[in-house]
Amino acid sequence: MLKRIYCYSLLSISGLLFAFIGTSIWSWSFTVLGFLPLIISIKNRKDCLSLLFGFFILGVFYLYGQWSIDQSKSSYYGDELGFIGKVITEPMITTTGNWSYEIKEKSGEKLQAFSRTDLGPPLFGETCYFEGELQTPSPTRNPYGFEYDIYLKQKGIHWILNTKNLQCSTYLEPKKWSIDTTLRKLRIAGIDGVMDIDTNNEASSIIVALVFGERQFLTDERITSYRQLGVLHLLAVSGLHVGLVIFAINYILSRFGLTNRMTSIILILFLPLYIVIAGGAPSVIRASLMSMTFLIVSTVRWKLKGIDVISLICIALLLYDPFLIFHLGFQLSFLTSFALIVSSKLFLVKNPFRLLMKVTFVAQLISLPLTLYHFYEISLLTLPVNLVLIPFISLWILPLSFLTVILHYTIPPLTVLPYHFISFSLKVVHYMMDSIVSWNWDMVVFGKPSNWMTIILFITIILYFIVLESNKRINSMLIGALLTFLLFFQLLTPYFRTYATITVLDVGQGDAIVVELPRRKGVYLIDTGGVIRWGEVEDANSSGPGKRVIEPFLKGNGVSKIDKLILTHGHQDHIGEVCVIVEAFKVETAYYPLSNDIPEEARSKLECILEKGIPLVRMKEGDNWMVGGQRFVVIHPQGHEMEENERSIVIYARIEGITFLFTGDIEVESEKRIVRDYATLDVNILKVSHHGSRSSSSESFLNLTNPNVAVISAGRNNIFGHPHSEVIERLHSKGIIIYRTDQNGAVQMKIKEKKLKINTLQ
Amino acid sequence: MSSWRDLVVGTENCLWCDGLYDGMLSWTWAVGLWKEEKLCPQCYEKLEPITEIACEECGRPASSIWMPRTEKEVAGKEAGPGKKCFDCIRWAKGKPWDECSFQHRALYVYNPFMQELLSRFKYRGDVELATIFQWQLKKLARKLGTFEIVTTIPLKDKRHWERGFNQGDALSKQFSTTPLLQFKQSHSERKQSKRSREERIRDLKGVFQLKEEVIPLIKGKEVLIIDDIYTTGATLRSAAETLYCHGAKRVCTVTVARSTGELKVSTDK
Repeated sequence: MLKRIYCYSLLSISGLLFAFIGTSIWSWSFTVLGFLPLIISIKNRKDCLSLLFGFFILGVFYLYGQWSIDQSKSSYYGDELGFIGKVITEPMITTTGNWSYEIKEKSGEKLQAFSRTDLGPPLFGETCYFEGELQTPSPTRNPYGFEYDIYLKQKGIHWILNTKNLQCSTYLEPKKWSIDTTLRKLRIAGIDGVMDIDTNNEASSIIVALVFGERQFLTDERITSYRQLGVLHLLAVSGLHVGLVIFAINYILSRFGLTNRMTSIILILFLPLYIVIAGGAPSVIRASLMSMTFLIVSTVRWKLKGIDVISLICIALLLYDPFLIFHLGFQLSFLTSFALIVSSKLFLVKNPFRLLMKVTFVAQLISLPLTLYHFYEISLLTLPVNLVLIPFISLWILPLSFLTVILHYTIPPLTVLPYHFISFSLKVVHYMMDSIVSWNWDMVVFGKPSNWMTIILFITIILYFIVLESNKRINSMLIGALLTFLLFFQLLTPYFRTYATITVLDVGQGDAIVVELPRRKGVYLIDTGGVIRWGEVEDANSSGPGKRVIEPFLKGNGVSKIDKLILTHGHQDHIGEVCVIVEAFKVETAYYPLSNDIPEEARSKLECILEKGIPLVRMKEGDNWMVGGQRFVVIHPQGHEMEENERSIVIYARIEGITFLFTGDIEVESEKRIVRDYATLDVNILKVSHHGSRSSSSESFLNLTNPNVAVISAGRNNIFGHPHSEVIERLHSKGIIIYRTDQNGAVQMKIKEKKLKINTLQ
Repeated sequence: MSSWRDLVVGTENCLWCDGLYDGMLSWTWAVGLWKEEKLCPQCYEKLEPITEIACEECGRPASSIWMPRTEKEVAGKEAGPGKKCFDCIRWAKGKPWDECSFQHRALYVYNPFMQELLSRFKYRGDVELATIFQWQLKKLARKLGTFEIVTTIPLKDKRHWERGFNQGDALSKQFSTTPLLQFKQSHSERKQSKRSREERIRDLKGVFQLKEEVIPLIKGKEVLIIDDIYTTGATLRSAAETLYCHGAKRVCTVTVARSTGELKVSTDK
């Protein structure tokens, strides 16, 4: 009955999924995956017991999931103001400059708390009194956007607490010495120490990530480059690290003449401490617990197989925190380790390089569907980059990092030595990585595969492993071909789409409109959005809508090339993210209105375009083009307008028989000019000019265009008061249907042969 | 600590040589398709599976059709490829095989390794070895069709007492067997393996009889007999004959090993 414990861990996941997300295809897939091996391997009546036990596990975890949901149900109404709670995560600085941490309130409910930096962060594990307002986490406002509400809910959190005041000292519990807090203090001291060596050197942040499992000091670009090249797993403390720690300790202790048994016992006692020091991510816990189990097993001479150990640890972790199933690190860690253990038959090679190649191949292949599901793209160079970077990081940087940290704790003056080795070699390697990433040709954007596609990919990959094992050339080529076909199918689906999609993204206060023509005949991005900043300019890449909204939306749709990047005019809220966009996508041609001069704020953005070697075309009235029967005509500007808003490019488009007017930010003057010059300009859908400002959308202009639907792109609670009530009133009085990104989130229009369907996210 | 791989992958001990080998861990196993093996790959290779048969009746392996030199040409002409071997033609000349069908299949050739294995299993009481073949026998039987009754060859009480188990019963753990046969009182005490072909056939003529209580069960039924080895076929044919006499519709037999003759010759000297 206990021959296939992994089936029970699959079934426990399935039970939890049924409880959390209901009867979705994922829940059923895990049910099937869990029961299938049990059913196939039934040989006698005794084996039926295992099936029964499977049902039992499924049921138990279903109930456990339900119970966990009940437990995590909120007991707040939202108007509470004071909370006493314990800080349960290490406070971290967010990109917006707040401290972010989770607290556990006395009732057991968890809250996501933010507090201003001037308050100073509470300490991890401290019990404090928090004063502030509760806020519900907002759901995503854009397709493929980050689902913050779901993310928090999957951690069992229902409210965000915006802390205005906090007092920790009065609520301090009597000082108790605990190994846990000591270790944490040691950890923080270590992190600070390493960062103090040279805060601006990337080596420090890499050492902190590798030794302490703390990634917050790494820049977003660094993490993105590691992720894009498929080597992010090297920065997660996992099996490799734990293995190295064990190897080193084992080596040193045996040099001191300790017996194997003694070494094992010391290691078993040490590994739990290591979990805390290394940050306690699921991958660390998994790797450490597995190693501990193996050490225990080998000292008491039991017989326990790796696959059983990993399955039991999976079940144990899920019992500890059932919401872990939504944790990407948990998913990737268990998926790849499971695959590597099961693939052991494929690894019977002596040559270490070939072994590394095979291990990397299996790990990358099994995580491919998950990677695509979460990141939509993959690098063709993943395999070679891994082959270089795995030995480089794990055999060179990692040991040196440990050495640096140990020296820092013991003989600080010597720290410089290994540190400089790391610093120098990392610089070289990072330089090479950066140049690969900037080429961009190796990135294949698959778009987000549907749930079905993801599952079919998983099944095909498992089949592929099975045929690889059986050593039948023809079969493995057949399945390999099937896999390739599926990937191409995913890649080419947009090219068979017969409808056009026009999406007005919610980029806050600003414009960003994506036009996708049928059969991928063209992908146009009209404006990029941008954050309007006052005072000092911060790191512009980190949290702007380019990275947060446009890139995931386009990549989720399988777009890697923008045919036309149309910048309607030179204001920050329209072209602010240009540099991010040209970095992340291939842009065929960029367009900027013809004008007398270019404002200062736009110059640097246009330079980004020219630096990338993208042709920049100045657009003016009369320009037009036609693609696959869809017609685009530029009706503004004429090139001599003086005010920046009035210089906006205005495009009249007829897509699948529906007419659009993309107006940029033109104001009354230009509207008058258009009314004067164009006798008829009938429009079905109007992108309301200048975020619905009062200075635009004049009566006469609306009369000329006579739209059925108006879309307003404006930020929630923006300080300009856009859209203006007068404009809304005017549109209403004409019976025009209004969609607003500040209320509806992104507005998506699908058009096929004069038929229009409008979807909004909220 | 040295054998992390063993720990992770999980090893098994070979039932024959007790050596460690990598367990069944594989994707094939993970999806439930793996047939359990009890021998290490090295020992497994020493077994000679019968993949092609030369005789549709007795399942003689195509790899080695051993026959007396003088009769070979006759056999060649009359048997034809994949039809009937000389042995079976000889059997078919007598009753009841001129009208009753007989089909036998075996898993492996009775080579020196198999000989050792079976003697350790039977004479030195290593019953666990039977688990190597239990599933394979079930699979083999499925190829012959479906059977309503499965039975084994009985052992003489004295022999059973010596051995402690019946090899047929040990091998047929995956079937639900019904004991059908027993010895007639007059039967000689000598071991079967110590006799020549003619002796065996002569001695075994009518050596089995059906148990009283099962006689009414047999009529019109399809019966499968399981045993460890088929040498001349005398034992199995004799048992089958008894069943045919009581009206069985069809009798088939399966064994682990199939003697091809070469070995017998060499060991006789």
